Amino acid sequence: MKSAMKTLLLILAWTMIASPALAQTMIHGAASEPRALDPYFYAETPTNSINYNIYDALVWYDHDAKLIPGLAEKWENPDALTWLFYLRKGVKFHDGSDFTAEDVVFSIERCGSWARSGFKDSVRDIAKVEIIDPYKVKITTKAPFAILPDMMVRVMIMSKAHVQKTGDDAQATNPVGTGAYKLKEWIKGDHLTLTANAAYWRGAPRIETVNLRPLTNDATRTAALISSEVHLIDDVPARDLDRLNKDDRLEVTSKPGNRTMMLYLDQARQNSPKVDSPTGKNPLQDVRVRRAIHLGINVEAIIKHIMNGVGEPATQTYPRFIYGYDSSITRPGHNLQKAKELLKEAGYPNGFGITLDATNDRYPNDEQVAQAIAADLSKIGIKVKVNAIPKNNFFPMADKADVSMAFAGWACNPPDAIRFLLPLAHTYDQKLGAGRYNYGRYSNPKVDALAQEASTNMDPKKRLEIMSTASRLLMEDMAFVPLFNLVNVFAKSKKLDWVQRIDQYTWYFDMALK
Amino acid sequence: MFAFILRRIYQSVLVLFCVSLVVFAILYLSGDPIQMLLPADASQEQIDEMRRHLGLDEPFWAQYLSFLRNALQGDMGRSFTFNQPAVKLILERAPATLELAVSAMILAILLGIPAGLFAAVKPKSWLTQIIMSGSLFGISLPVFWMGIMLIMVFSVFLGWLPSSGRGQTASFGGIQLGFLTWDGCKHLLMPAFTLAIHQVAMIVRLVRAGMMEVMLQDYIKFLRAKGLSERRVVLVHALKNIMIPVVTIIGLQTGYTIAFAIVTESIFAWPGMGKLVIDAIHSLDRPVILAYLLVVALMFVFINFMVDLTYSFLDPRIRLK
Repeated sequence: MKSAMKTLLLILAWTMIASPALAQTMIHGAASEPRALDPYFYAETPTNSINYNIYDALVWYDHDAKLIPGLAEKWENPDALTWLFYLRKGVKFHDGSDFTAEDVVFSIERCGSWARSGFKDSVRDIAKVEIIDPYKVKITTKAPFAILPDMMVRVMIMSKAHVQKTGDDAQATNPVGTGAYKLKEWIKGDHLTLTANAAYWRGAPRIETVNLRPLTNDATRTAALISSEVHLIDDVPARDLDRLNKDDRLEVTSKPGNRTMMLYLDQARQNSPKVDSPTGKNPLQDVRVRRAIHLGINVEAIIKHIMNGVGEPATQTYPRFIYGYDSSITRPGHNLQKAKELLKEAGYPNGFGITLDATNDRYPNDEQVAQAIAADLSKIGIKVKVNAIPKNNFFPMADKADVSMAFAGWACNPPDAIRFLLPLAHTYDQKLGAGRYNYGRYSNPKVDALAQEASTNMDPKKRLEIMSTASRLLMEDMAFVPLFNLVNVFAKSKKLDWVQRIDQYTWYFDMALK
Repeated sequence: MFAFILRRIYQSVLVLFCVSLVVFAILYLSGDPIQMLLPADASQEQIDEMRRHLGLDEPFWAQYLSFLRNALQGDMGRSFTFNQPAVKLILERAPATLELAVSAMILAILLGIPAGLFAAVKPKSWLTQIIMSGSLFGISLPVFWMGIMLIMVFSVFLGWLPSSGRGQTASFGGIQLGFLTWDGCKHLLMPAFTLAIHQVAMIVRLVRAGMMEVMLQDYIKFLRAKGLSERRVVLVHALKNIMIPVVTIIGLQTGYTIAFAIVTESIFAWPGMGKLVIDAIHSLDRPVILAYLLVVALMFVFINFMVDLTYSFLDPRIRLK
């Protein structure tokens, strides 16, 4: 008995000695846990974010979404179809092996051919990848493809030898990259621990250990930051902002993300399925009606009262750091009088009835925003019935264009307007694969031509011009009704030195603890 | 005994089969998992390729039969969302949930039975008033509110206990257990208490009601007349006679705490199965949902079996047939 007690005491003493946190450990309280550490498995922010700490891509972004070199020191395109990437020498994977052109070719191929790859689209425009020498890779595209460097950010580089040795499925939990951090352990649902890669080619990270803890409950996440159990939390609940702002040990940071929330309006059909029109025609085909809807929604009030101030009014269909944004476009204010006049001119003095389809589990406060839109539109005579449903049902329905008015968001990723113009603004065309997400089936040949030109033109200045023109055309046609851009909010201890990134990734290499 | 176990197994296999069919049908009808597996800007080509790869383009019966064929060979498939074997995901998380549920039930029994006995034997005491009104609160307070309040008081204001997570664990026979370390115990305290509070209240009321009834019966009078001490009358003779309903409820509630630990798990960021399964349901991750049901159903079968064994121990007239 005595010896049993002794052992117990020893165990207790040992655990107490072992438990104090190691110096320089940064603890990140995350709203969402990564799904898999295979960088091609699933494209979403929480998963990509952790993977960019473990892997590098050939190209990378700075805080403001500007391209900077990654594993490629530089790149050039001698002709419209060819790209040469000059690889960095002396870079090593976490297992000590050398990074060479072999790994780049292997990674791009696996990204496009692995059956469970969720990133196939990133390399679909590539025709061929060749090794020129161990540190030079030539990529040939199927057609001129201006945003190839942006696309290469999405293809994190894996070690060919490691993947071939351990197999595809093992990569979900056993990653080997060249990144600033190595995986130490991952206890799903509890914590994921990374340790610094001292031999990192950008230099040794300043924080030795990073602990990512999934704290999915909003109140718990905030409490953990206030009680100093974590240094950083993401996706800060808007109702806790006041409390966090008042705490002088903490700091709240926010930046607009790349997602714009908007209305999709059915413009293709003479008879829209969910419209109750007094004239029997589809009122949404009239640009005056679409403009009236734009003017009739009080976006400022929605941001203030429903979004708790976390949002910014959208001037166009994407936020300002997207390449192709036109800063000359301004947002007309909320104007009920003008909206009513436009409806009258269009022949709907008493408005019409319509169903607004929305999600109730996809975007922040989606259902409440849809209700507010309905309330605003009722003031100009449009009787809106809100149908807020789970995303699993909403998107398949929207894909079939079985909507007359839909509320949803779109994020351009990479941050280039072509990622809006082709999938949303272009005429729906299954063969071309364009207009895939054009739920309202908007169609303007001029916009189609501009979108196609912007995707193949290789001159950045010219592209900006083309896409700005398209941005203006979309607003003139009121092809979509842009409402507001979502803003990403983080909160952190003042001990943590960090500048928030536009892409929302938490890149620990950038962080330091004071 | 052996035949009894065999029949139990046979019954549970039948139940599992029916459950899997119903769940499969519900999942099939409730939307398209492809939406959850690919980025929001995926091209039609990519969507079609993925659907074909996962066999989601096949008709319902073909999908169900191929699931059944694999399941009978012990393969529940890989999680759509994590690309890891579904059973492995569940079993990795099961110890955390079991540890939480079992600690909560032990806490509930240790607090509930003595409190219920006391309230029955000394109905006029001031302590009884507190116990009974406390149990009323315990039954009516929502779990998430309790949890958040505990975090606010003990983590944010007092800073005594960690707000969330499982803390340090120690390996015991290959299973990670938190209560073996001091840090783990500190992490376990608040979630276990939150989960236990409802069960304590339930057990208190059940024990008190049963006890008050039994204490009026003739054999109690007889025992007293024989001159047995009050302690022996209450703790040995009366208690054993009220235990059958109490054990039944404890058994049922153990199953309930395992299956419904989700709210507590989510508040305290406890890495148990509940969170995993709720996410799986949201993302229509069929392999994980089905694997979870299998594991939980087996657990229920086991708990019921234990309850039956306890019956025959408490009341020798009951035989396992």
